[in-house]
Amino acid sequence: MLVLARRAGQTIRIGDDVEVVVASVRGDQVRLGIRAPRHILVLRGELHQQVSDENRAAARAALLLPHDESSEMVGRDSSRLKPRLRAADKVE
Amino acid sequence: MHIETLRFGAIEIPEEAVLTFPQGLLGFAEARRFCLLPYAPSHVLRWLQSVDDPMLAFLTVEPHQFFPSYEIVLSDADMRSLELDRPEDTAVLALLTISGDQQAVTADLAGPIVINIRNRRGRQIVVDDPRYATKHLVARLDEALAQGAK
Repeated sequence: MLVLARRAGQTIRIGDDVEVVVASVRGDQVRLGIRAPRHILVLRGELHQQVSDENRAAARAALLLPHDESSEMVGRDSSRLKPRLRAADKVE
Repeated sequence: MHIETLRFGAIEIPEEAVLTFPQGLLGFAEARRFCLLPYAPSHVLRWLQSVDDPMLAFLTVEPHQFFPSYEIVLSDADMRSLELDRPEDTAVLALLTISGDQQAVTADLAGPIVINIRNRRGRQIVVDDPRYATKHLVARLDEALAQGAK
């Protein structure tokens, strides 16, 4: 891992398109500004980890649910998916 | 196509029912192909069942069933990954977890599954929105199962 020492106001460039600015440093908290093209996803690392952990919990919980092999099921249920993304209206 | 599942045994599903997740799910990068199977006939809860791993399945629900105001914004990266031209061509699912002695069912609203219903590509997205966390209480398990049966 590359480790760089930076002061407030200094920057780091990643590739041609991404710039990280150290906005301020106060105690153990660093505020960073990130300039990146819209197709680059920027996320706090712990958020990614939380969703990953929740997936594991969900898979484990599913295994513990009682199951009834006699229950009737329909393999083509995927075809019943309906468009339902209201928020999508916000996407340009 | 023939698939093996823990829950339903060996079943046949049509090829066109297979959903492809090019990046897998978070923590399950290798799980690329799934299908949706109803928890029970016409039930609003559905299994997102791995086509390749009989033991891997997630209980899911379309979030608006329990969270009518739920909304997410897709990034350019999401749109590109899904090869999505029109945002209205999507279906959204939340993964459910059952936890604790109370058998509380929670929905992960921070990591929804988005599916392009035209090409059946799927992607789990991470929503950076303070309103949504990985555990939102839906109901007790028995209530959720009863409510979902319509």
